[in-house]
Parts: sequence; structure tokens; C-alpha cells
Amino acid sequence: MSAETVVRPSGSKKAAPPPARGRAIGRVEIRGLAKQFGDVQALSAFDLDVHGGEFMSLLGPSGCGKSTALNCLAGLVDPDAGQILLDGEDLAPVPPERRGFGVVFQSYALFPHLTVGRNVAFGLEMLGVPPDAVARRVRQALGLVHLENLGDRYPAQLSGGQQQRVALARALVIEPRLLLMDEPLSNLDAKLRLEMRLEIRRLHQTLGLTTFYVTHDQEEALSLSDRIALIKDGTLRQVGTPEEVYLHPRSAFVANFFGYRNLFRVRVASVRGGRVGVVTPRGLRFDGTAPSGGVAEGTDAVAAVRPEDVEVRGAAGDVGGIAARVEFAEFVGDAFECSVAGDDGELFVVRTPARWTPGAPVVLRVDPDRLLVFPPE
Amino acid sequence: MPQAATARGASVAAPPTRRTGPRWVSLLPLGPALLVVLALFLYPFLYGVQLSLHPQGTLARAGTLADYAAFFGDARERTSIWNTLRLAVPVTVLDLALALPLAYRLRRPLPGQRVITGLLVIPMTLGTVLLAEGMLEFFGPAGWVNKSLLALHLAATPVQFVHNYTGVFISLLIADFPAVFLVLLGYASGLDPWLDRAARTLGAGWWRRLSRVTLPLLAPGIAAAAALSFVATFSVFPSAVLVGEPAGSTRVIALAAWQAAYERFDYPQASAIAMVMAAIELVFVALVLAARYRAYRGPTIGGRP
Repeated sequence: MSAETVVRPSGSKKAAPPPARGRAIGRVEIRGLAKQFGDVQALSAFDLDVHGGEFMSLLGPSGCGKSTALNCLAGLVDPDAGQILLDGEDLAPVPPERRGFGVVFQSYALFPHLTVGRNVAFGLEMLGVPPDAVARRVRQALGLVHLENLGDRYPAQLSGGQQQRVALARALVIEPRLLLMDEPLSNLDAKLRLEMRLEIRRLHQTLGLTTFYVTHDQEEALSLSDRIALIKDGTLRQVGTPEEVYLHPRSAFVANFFGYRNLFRVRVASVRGGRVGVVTPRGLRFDGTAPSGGVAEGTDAVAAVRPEDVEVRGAAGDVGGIAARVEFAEFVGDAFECSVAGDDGELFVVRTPARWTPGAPVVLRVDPDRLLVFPPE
Repeated sequence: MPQAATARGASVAAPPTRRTGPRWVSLLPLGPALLVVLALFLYPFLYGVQLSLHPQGTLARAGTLADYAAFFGDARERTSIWNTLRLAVPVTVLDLALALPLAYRLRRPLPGQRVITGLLVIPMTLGTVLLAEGMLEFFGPAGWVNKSLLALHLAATPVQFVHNYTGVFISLLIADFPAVFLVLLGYASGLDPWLDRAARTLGAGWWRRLSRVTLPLLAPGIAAAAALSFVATFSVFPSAVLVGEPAGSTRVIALAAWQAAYERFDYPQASAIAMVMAAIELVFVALVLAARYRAYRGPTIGGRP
């Protein structure tokens, strides 16, 4: 799977744009996009700018509207309001069959009655490409996804990972202006998912296509994306590079998505400079930081902390910190994850290098810089 | 938590398949059905074959195939094949053409879909005789159709809709439609809607989505519906008499067999005609199935469901 053996699917003689990042073409501007299905507002006031060649993930829980956004881009769903511009051109009057976007569907949607080769050729035949050029480009596209020898098979004769590759080849062979992928890896097992993730990353680095990638898996989004758009209830919550959204979440929702597994309701007791003192309903006190502001003394808030940012020590002798008791300990490979209950019954998930016996009394300490306090959603 | 995910993703060995006895044991449940087929289909069929090979009366000495020769030698008898074909083939084609777009349209739940489907299937619950009686009134000289035609000045005198070819044609069209529609609806609702969307994003307009994706995937259903419809209409009997012209244009092959058996009491002749009828139906079904196997057969879902 070395990148050196890769060829462009086009093979055409026309001046192909260099496969570099930040190309001038494939720039997408989404302005005030809205869509309602029955009583459900699937998307509202959705704005997003994507540079040419950028890999943008749309990340959110199921039903958040991310697939609706993708289907609006593909033209399969008509938005109620707003517009989508591709390189400045309004896409609204262009039907999906004339957009020329490569789409990879969650179910792959391979034509079961056509061989792999005919599946990949389909888009080219629709474009009226001459047969000899179709044959050549299909061969190249199958080579790109390492399926050179399976052109005569039917989709039902392929494994899930191979079907996924065919779907990719079918989308890429038409030299799309945009590549749209809707949870393409969700039907694969964990090992194959990692493999295909690398493959998608490699293809993107080689071809430099502007890519929209819908997923609910934060790991996929973090590893693949140039930027991630977090979506909840049809609205955009935060857009940023993987590092930005991982390290500096601006809301409890985003924090929860990126490993802040401990979220708890608190009341703000004090705000002093960057430091925020909070109290849980049963009276546990923590110091934290409010990265996005919006918290004032006496208001409700949500505190978030990662399992690995909670320090756990034995209760013997020490003072300072929160008294708690270990409930469960789970071995997760490179560490243990323990559920611990504070004196007030609040449960925390903590990550520790050593196994703690259930029932053991411990003391929890949290670095105030690592405890984030957000206004309630 | 990549560690946890990897651990959970580890492959689980498939449970061992358990065999409880020799292979033939698993075929036992087929027994009762097999018995019914033998008793109700195969025995009468073979009995009919041997009956048709033992001519009686004046043909008794003319050899075993004399009844077949007599049927094909008599122009009036021979014409019954044509009379039946010119009903069965157009009715089958027209029913398919009417049912296909409806089944495709109704493949996904729509408001009022159950009511529409129910209405379309109602003719199945009417017997041929009831349908014929209704038609005699409705399409008769003083029926609603002719009254409307006269009132709208579309016809000067009542149009003859019954007691001719048209009457049998309409009757078969109505009686046969539900089965064709239901078979096609079953296949159409099994179509993966994402295939159409995929074809769209690949640049296919409606006609090429229909001809390159939808119709090939529906081919097995079309073949099944065509075979069922042809066999049903080719064996038409009651409506050919009740709303047709049994002495002339709608003297169908089943009627020829009936007349041989119950007017002339020549069972061997009747059996020979029935065998000719069976052979024609078999040839049609074989042709349809051959065409179907040349087309695609397999799942109608793209990728993993």
C-alpha cells in the first residue's frame, strides 16, 4: 500500500491540478442552509466554508443533521433555505446527476447486477466517455484501490472491505469536483476500519480532492480531517482543526465528544480571573477553568474532565482532594479504567496505571487547568 | 478507547454446526408437500397423457397420436390456439405495463398506500362469474359506460363491449391485474433505494436509471409475473363463455377441450387438447425463464444490508 505505486485515476492528458493541498478549485461555501423534515429541524442556519482540497469531517451523534448536510451537497435533498456555492457557483439549479460529485454511501450502494468493472465504469459511461478510455480509466481506478484483479466479480462476491474500495473507485473514477462520504467505514469491523482509514487518508493526500466526510466516530474524524465541523441538533457547534477541537472544546457537547467522559452539573461559586470555583449539587468543590467564558457566579454550569486528568491516590494520611471509593476497575490494555464514586454519589471515570480493588477508599485531585467549566447547553 | 475497541472487535469463532442425523432426515419435512403434488398434479397429468394416446371411436385404429393429428388437422380446432394466444399475450403485456409503474410508485410507504393497494387487489376477491355479471351490466347496451358515451356524444349508438373479444379481454385484464401487481410490488419494495440515488450522483438521468438499474433488478419479478399471468389467461374458460363469443372469436382452447369432453364425450380427444395447452404454457414459461436467467438474478441490495 505504498503511495509510490499510486496513479491518478484520470490518466487524461488535460492539465490536471497538482495533487497538493489548498487547491484553488473545489472551494465550497455553505450559507444559511436549513432543512425541515416534518416537525424535525434537521438543519438550521448552517454556515461552513471549505477550502479547495480540504478534508472536512462532519461529526455529530446520529440524527444531528450531518447526513442531511451531505445530501444537500449531493443534491439528493433540497434545502428549505440557504445556498451552497462551489467555486462561487450556486449549486441550487444543478440536479445531482449533473453535479459530478463522487459519493460514497454508507451501504456502498453498489449495483448488484453489474460486475465490479461495470460498476466503476457506470459514471464514465453516463458521461459518454469512449469505451477504450473507459476501460483504461476503470483499470487505473481499480489499481488505485488495489482491486486490479477483481474487475469481473460481482459485488456480492466481495468482502465488506473490498466493496468499500469498489465504492471509492466508482466515486473517484469520474474525477469528481467534490468527494462526499457518508459514514463509509461504519459497516466494517474494527481492524478493517483502521486499514481503510489509512487508505482514505492516502487517497486524499494523493488526489487532493475537497472531501466531506460524515461520521459519528471522533477517532475517524481526528485522524482523517484537516478540519472538523461538530454538529448537534442541526446546528454547527464548533469548527476547527483536530488539535483545536480536541484540546480546546468550546462547549460541553464538543468536550464530551473528545474524551471528556466526566460531565457533571455544577453551580458556579466564584469567578476569579481565569479560575472558576464550582460546587456539585451535593457539595463537592472543584476549581476549574472556563475556556469559552459565559459563566457567572451563582449560575448553573457543566464541568468536564477527562478520565486521564483525574489524579487518584490512596486515601491513607493525605489531605486535600475529594474522598471517593472505587466501584469497578476495567483493564483496557495500557491502563485501567475505574469508576469511582464521590462521597456525594457522583460517579467519575478515571484512568489509572494500577489496578484498584473495588471498595478501596481513594482521594481524587483534578488540576484546575484540566477541569473545564461550560455554560449549560 | 482504542484498546477496548480492538478487544471487542476480535473475531469470535462461529458456533459449530450441529448435525442430528443423515442428510435425508432433513428432507423429511418435504414429504407431505411431495405427496400432494404427486396425488393432485402428477397422477392426473400422467393419466391424461396415457388417455390422450388411446384414441377411441373412429380414431381407435389410426394410431396413438391420432387425437393430436385430429386436433391439428381441423382448422376450427387449430384456431382455438390462436384465439387464446391473442387474448393471453396482449393481456399479459398490458397488465405488466399497467402494474409496473404502479408497483414502482407504491414500493415505499405513501399516505393512503394501504387503501390504494387494497383497491387494486379487490378484483382478486371477485370470482370470474361475478365479474362477468358485473361487466354485462356495466358495459352492456344500457350500462353506465354506454350511457356516458352517448351522453358525451362520443358514440351515436351503444358500443358493443361484451359478447365479443373485447369483453373477454377486459374481463381477463381486470381479473389478472392483482396477481401481476402483487408479484411486482413484492420485487419493487425489495429494491434498495440507495441504488437509484447512487446512479443519480453518477450522472444517470431518469431514463438511464430506469433502463440500467431499476428494470434489470426487477427482471426476475417481471418474469415471474409474466409467467403467472400467461398461464392464468391461457387457461381462460368462464369469461370466454359469459362475456365472450364462444362460438366464434373467443372459442378458446380450454373451451375446445371442454366441448370434446362434455359435448362429444371423447375423453382421449379432450386429453390431447389439454396436453397441447400444457405444452404451449410450458414453452412460454420456459422462454420467459430463459430470458430471466440471461438477465441478472441475485440480491437487489447494493453492498451489505
